[in-house]
Amino acid sequence: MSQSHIPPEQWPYEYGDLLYSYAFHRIGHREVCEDLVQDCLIRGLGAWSQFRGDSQVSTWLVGILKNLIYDYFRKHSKSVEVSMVDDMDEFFLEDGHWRFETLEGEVLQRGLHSQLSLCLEGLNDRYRIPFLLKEQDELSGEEIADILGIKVNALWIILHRARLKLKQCIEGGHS
Amino acid sequence: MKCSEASWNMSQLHDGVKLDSKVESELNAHLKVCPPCRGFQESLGQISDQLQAHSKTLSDSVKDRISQQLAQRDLDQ
Repeated sequence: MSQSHIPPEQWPYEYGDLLYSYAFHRIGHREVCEDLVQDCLIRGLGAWSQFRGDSQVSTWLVGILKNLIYDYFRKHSKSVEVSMVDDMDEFFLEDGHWRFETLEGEVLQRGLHSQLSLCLEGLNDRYRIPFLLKEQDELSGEEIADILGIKVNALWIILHRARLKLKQCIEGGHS
Repeated sequence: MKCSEASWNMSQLHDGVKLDSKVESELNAHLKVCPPCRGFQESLGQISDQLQAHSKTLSDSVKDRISQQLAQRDLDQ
């Protein structure tokens, strides 16, 4: 049976894990991601007559899901604001040195594998959403700023703080 | 260069922002003598790699629920 002949009611079993994983890594909230997968498959069914078969069904569905995710980000990013002179005391001492130091080669030893998902889930939306758009979707700064309705310079600060917060969380369990 | 500045410049480079050549030279000089900053630099790449590696599974009950909705809508169309 070719992919395009899989009955729609079988889509959740065929594509559900792929779509859920894609959504979860960008949003990090189980219930939201489950709803997005459901919306994606229902939209896919509604638009099935437009599917030309020139790509895999899974690729086509991921495209639909991606648009749903960006719509979600647009709706939930209204509170994304950042001061251009953000307080860095949380991460650095007065003399500019790191508060928490992880030396080269120690990052993996400090439990990156197990901690990253937990730390991402604990990261505030204002940091997690731009961070995942950059790191997972590999969008440009301009594209992310456009989706979130913020200035590119503010985005760089948000991304930097997101990385510092993740580093701190992975190192010491600080969220 | 202080670690706080170095981390900012590393983050900028990671995001594809071009640094002033003088700043980049100062950053490279700082990295040579600062293991914690090299640790941060290393973590930037490792976190990116890890993000691509994790996979998640949709629960069977949710799959069943969506399947029923799709079957019903398919009948309605």
